[in-house]
Amino acid sequence: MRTSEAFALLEQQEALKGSIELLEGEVSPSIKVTPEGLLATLTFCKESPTLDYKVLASQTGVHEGEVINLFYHLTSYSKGHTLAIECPVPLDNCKVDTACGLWSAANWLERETYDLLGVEFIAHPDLRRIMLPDDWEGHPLRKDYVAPLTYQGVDNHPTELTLSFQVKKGDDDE
Amino acid sequence: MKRNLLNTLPENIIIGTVDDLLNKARANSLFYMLFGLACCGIEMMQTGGPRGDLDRFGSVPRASPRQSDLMIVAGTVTLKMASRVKTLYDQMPEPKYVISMGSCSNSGGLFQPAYSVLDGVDRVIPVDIYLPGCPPRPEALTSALLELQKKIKSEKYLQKSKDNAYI
Repeated sequence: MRTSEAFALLEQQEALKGSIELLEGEVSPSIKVTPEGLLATLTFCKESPTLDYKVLASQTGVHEGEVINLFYHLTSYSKGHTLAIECPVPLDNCKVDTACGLWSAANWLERETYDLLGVEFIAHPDLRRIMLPDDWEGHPLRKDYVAPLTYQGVDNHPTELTLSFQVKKGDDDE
Repeated sequence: MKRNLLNTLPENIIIGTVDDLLNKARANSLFYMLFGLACCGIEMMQTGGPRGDLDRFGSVPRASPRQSDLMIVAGTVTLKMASRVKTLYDQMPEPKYVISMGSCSNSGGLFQPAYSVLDGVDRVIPVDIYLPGCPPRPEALTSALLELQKKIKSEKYLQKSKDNAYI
């Protein structure tokens, strides 16, 4: 099933009116959902017998300007089709419903997104950092993140030699 | 033939200083701790395997730091791992040596600008041999081990504990 056909099916749902949008995309199409309509969309995608997306293949995100774009890639083995869902979460209210109730695979994937991008998943059963240490500060995949120069008493300042190799801003414009 | 002390000794007796004898024994029984952190670990396994065969030099892998003389830091040391590296090093009995294997371990290498990577393991523990390469070939690691043996043979072991600041 094509993404446009899945979108047509989703559009017929009363509850999802106004919260979903079809994106053509440069490479492949996807469906854009507001944070409020995300859980209802994902639930319909899994429960609908014609869509039958029983597998959450990946859940990740990208920090773009004022929003963090969450991406959900769904797969259906029975129907042999896939779907990409995009959900822009604003930085000033970085919260969204968890998908753990639908796919248990979402547990660790969402913990990773929380760890690296700082998106809070509401009602997640175990929202802790998964890769970085518990005492780490900040979320490294945000564009405004500044790497720590010391950690647990270990000095990690760059040496003069390292600094001399770094490309300065404006150098690559020439 | 003129008689001297050497000629009076029976066969199979070697004369040398205590330091020389101790150093020979130490240099040819360097047990290294298995400490593969990244892709360099694969090359270290190759070196320890039948082709590289570090056993030829009396060097065998140990799974515990308490039985090891040598730590081969093979791979990228992250900030999270840094304290663990230090703990494992502290658990090794004296005299102990460290080979920093590969660019990442030497200076952070390819991942130097990354937020989570330590720029060189020598910021946490003292290093005896820096081995360049990304990753170094098994021959290079063998060469590093031979260099370390040279270093050990030139040491005054019985005086070492006085000079060593890390005890």
